[in-house]
Amino acid sequence: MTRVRVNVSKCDGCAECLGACPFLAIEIREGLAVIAESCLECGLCVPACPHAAIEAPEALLAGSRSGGVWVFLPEGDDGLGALTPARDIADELGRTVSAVMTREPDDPAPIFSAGADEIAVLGGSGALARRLAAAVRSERPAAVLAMASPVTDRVMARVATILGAPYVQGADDVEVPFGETVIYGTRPLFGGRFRCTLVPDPSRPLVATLNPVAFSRVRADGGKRGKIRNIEVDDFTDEGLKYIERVRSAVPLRLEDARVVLAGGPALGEEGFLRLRQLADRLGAAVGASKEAVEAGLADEAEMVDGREVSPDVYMAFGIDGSPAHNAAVAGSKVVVAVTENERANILGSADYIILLPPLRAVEGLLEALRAPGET
Amino acid sequence: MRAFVCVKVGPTRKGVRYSRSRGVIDSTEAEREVSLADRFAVQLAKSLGPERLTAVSWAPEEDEALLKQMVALGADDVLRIATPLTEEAAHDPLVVAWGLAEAIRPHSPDVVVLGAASIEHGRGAVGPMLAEYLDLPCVTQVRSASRTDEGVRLECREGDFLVTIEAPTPLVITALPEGVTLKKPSMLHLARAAKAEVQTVEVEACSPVLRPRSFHTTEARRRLRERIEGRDVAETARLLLSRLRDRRVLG
Amino acid sequence: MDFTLPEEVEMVRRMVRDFVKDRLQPLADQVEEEDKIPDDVLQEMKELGFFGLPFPEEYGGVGVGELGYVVALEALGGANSAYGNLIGAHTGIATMSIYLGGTEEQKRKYLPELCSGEKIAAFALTEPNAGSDAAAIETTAVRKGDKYILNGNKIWITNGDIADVVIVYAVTDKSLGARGGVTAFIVEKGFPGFSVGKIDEKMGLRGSHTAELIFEDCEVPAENVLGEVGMGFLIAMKALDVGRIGLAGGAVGGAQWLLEQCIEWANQRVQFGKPIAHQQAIQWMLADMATEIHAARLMTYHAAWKLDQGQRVSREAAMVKLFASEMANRVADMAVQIHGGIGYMKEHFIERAYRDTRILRIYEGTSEIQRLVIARDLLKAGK
Repeated sequence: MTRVRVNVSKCDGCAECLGACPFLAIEIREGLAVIAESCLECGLCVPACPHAAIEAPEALLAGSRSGGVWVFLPEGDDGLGALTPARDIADELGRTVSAVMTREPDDPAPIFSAGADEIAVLGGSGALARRLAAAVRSERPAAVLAMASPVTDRVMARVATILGAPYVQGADDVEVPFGETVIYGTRPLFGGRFRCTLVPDPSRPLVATLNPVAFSRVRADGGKRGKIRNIEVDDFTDEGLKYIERVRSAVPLRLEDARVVLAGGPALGEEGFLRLRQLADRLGAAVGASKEAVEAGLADEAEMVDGREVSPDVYMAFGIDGSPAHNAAVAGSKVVVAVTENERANILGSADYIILLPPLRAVEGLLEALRAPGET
Repeated sequence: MRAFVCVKVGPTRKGVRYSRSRGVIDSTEAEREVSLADRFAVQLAKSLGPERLTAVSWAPEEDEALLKQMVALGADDVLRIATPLTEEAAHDPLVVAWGLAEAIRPHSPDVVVLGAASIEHGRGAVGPMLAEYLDLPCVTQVRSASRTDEGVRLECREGDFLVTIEAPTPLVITALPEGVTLKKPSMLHLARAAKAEVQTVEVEACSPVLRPRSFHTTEARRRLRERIEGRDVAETARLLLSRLRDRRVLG
Repeated sequence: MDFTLPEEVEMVRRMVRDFVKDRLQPLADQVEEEDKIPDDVLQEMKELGFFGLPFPEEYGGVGVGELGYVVALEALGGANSAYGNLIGAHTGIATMSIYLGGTEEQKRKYLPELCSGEKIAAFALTEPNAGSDAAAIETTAVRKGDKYILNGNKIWITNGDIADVVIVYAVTDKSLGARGGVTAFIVEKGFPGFSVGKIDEKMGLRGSHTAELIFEDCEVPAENVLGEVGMGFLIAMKALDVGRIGLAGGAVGGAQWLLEQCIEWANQRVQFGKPIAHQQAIQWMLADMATEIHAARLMTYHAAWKLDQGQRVSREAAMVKLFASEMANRVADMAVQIHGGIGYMKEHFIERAYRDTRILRIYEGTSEIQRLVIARDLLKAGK
């Protein structure tokens, strides 16, 4: 039930409010404005009425600017990195940071030292998105952030929809530009070749998920403490999804999510790929392959780099010539290392570090260099 | 089972350029295509054996030829939202999801499938948003699907894990092409699809709440092109590692 | 005048172009070295509908007409010439002979299998003593009861080594000469007396084979007379008309691909401190290439369109074959020149294109024959 109401004694059916409603939730019936159930309580119609005929509770009209920055930390996710930009934004706007969780954490200390002023435990049961949206509606934070993950990708999008809020998915930057009071979000386009900075409607909270690769730094203000409180929220029905099975995938780390990617081309050969996987294990890296290597049966199709958006901190290409499709896929990487014997390889033009050695030997060399003394 | 698959027509990545003078992304020269993920979405939707599968897209009339190709991929018919969608508005997934919901809702869908990564956005925000507007559950990153007595059985990716989920219909699915080969339609099917009819529908669009402010290119990223040479393998390896650590990209 | 190509034709172009890029180009060196198109690639092409493009759906074809067929051959220009050649012989002239001259039963019997590529066809007209002088063929066909006995040999027959169905042109009545005395026969692999002789070693066109076909008292059932006795020459000429337009399409596609390679090379190759693309000499060569390709393309599309409309195209077919094949050779020559030394080296693909292109001026009617055809038509028509 919407809390925005039309005072029929003041309304003259001029329909100014219709134009102001972004969700077409107002219509004129029998000469009077009627607000539909689909109203999302954004409050934009209130100032639009020349007769002040639309009324809404004060809390609703306080606007999102007075709210704090929320960081949603789902259970089981490693999302503390999201508190870093939240802290920066809150400091810029003079607000507080609330870490929203579904249950009280066993050890709240790291959460406070990562930047949270308080931990708010979400009440209620059932559909997570509905509960979180209800909490946002009643407390009206300026922004709700979360580290992108399989859970948050689903939940945050639905939260934004329920609220009619601006939603930036996979942002690699969120900030308040100098002199502004609005939070801007930046996300990649076209596989990381471009980036787009988006500006949200200031009357709504910004909902955003953050790219873990861009927000890996976790603050450690050791000794910081805060309070823990509960947010009262209704119960909602569940989605009705049944989890049957959960197995670790044979292709463990998705290229898009990895901070270090080691990729091989056909020149690396079968033995080279074996060593590459060992090296990747050692570095906690994901393994990729050029299209040619996949076609030669040296790697799985799921490891193919060409045609995807692979932009890790480090991308190392062993024995890859670098077709245009391959190079475009990795153009967003922070640092590119090319190891090849081919002096005329295409990739050399887009590499930060070039090593002209047989790829297999280079891989072996790196394995050796990473070996702790005494290891075999 | 009444199924819908939402596809997006966008520029091929190759043909997109950054205009430094205007600070915008210019995709006017690029050829248009339906992304791999969206084409896989059609295949996944078809694999559920629906009585009728409609491909829906919010696209201008010029893209109808490409949309008809969805018939060659398994769709029975095509529905195009003819309401103009500005490039600016297209940056707000809420607007897109709203429009798609308006177009699909009257048909009481059992399954709606979308591609997990559209050409521009990369992580598939529209799916869960569309699900919310249709008041349906949503399962994301689905690699394969099959029908059960009560609904569907889905194999999905969740980070490092593969999970199996049973879900009731109606629901929304975002499909992730992982380790799949798309069936190539024969030219006979393409030629037949070219004669398919495209239905159009108008929707009342909502205004965007998120607007693009500026665009930047990462392409100009100047690469160092530093050669590490003239040393033996062991020293080269050590030098490379130390360079990477200095730049804080390796722990 | 609406110059836009029909949607289904554009779809064919896109599909073939992507196929060439994804599937065929990576195999270019392998096909050239092994002189063979891989079986799985051939199978995929059959499944995609490459073999029956111009024929109506009712006979198992894709139904995109001559224009769709031409556009497909043009799009194949970025791959080894072997593919276009195989399809050109199979679809363009051999299967086309059955489509243009066969009885309804023959069409229903053979066309579906040929359109799907389940069976491969070849067009056997040329003999040791009958090249440009096609009327001088000596292979004989003598009626014996309910069979014809064929004796003779055909040479340089494309697909000869893999063909399941061969359209063989033989003399049934020497006294009637070419018109009325030559009959076309549908000879199937396995007919007694039909064998494949030597497979030729050619200057280029690796991956596509030409072979000698030997007929020694070869028994062909009478119902395999294509159309009617004595109609052979007419069918051959009509089929060659159609084949010529397709060939021109392939020539345009190959030349276009060469042009694009030259532009890329000219932008990359630096001499005298700048890319050679900055040199006027190179620019003029590129301009000439592009202009000729553009002209050839438009006239070829027009001829294909006329054919699909059911209009007579003998003159245009000869013109486009003449112009496109000679243009392609000029373009190939300029391509070698623009690439300089590397254009001559086997490690690069330009020299292969140069060798492959030479045959275009010779087969399916030499340039000289095309000029004769055009001249005769001009003189007869007065304009």
